Amino acid sequence: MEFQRSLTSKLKAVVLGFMCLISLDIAAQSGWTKEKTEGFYQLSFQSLKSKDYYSLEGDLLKTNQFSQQSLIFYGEYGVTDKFTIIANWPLQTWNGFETTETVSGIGDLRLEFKHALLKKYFPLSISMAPELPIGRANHFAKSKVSDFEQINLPSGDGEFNVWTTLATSFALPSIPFYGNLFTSYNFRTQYEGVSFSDQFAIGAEIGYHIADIVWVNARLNALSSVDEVDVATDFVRGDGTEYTGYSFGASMPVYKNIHLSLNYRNYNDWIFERKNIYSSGVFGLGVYYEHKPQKK
Amino acid sequence: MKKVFILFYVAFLGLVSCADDTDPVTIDPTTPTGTLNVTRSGTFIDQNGAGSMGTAGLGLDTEGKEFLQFGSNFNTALATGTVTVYLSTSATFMADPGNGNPDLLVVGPVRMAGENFFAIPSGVNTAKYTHVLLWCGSVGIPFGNAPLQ
Repeated sequence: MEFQRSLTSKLKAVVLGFMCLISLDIAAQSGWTKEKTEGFYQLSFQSLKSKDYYSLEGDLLKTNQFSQQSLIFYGEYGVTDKFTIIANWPLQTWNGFETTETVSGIGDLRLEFKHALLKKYFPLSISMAPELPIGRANHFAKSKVSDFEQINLPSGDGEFNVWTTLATSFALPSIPFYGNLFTSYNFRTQYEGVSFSDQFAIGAEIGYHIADIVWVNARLNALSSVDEVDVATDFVRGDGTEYTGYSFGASMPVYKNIHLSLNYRNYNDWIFERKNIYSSGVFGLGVYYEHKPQKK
Repeated sequence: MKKVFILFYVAFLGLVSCADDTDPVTIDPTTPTGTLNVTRSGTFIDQNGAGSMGTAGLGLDTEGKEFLQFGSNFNTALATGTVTVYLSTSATFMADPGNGNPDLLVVGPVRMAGENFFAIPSGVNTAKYTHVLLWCGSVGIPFGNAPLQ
């Protein structure tokens, strides 16, 4: 179970659609579930600034600088030894271009229900994660250079969607090393009559515990649209977004069960080419608390 | 005395307002009067997946006022934010605000698909402009352009 610390200490990386936070994050998933009453609760802050926008055709465009900061709550709670509830909620997201004012709002709440299919020798889990569109689906930022221009920078995508994930994990018995593999499918619906393409994702993660103090991890994941999206029906809600993402993270205890985590994430074209995404390094800083049940 | 004055004034207003005036003729300065005689036109070339399509044309109405017209088949990505229409001396948006943007003429924001009219300010010579540009100013990218021929 020690390995689960690093699995859950992840900062939830955020995928950008054309110009806003869309909750398409596909941070690595594991095959493990929490023990009964075990909990993990994290508050993280992440920041991105980028002028590199990849169009729906995959062309790199230099734009005015876009910036996004997010304050995110992430929590896991073991209802039973085989059933874990996970919440992922951007409490506040700030979006803006260098040419516009910055606007902010809450994001969509993702509730994930994770069930352990196999637990001991071959950890295997399946989860369903409905994403509730409670975030602000339209938020216009006024231009600072033109009095009649504005742009929509919502903090939620406005649509109901459900992620389904199958994940497996392994841990080496002799050294503190683990690995995860997962695949996900995102069933998307529509917003105000505009339907979005479904998405699928794959990912892997490895982690190692250094000197029994610092957990380090490396992740690779990729997202693609099921349907080819040639023309943007709605840029800002992540339709047609594709990418390959990689990240490196570390976490260490600072006081009792409170830990500090750092994360760096970026994007490339290794598995899926970047499309409809702002690509740049995303820096994250988080604090998390772990509650371990008393051993009888 | 003051009340008498007020009563007299109200009665006067009532008489004036009840006069048998003819309905005023409303002139909408944003749409052409009579027929628009298009002299140069072109078809939008989509840029950056914005879905821009349709035709654009420059012409004079029956009163000699110049308008830019988008055809009924016009469309672009309008849900994201403001798309501003420019007349330009090339297919590329070349801003030079320090010198008064000599290669651009801002026409105005386009807010809907389908037919649109934009009045060209009087006194402006549009002869040097060869293209219509659709520009997303907040992001700083083009959504499309139409060469005028």
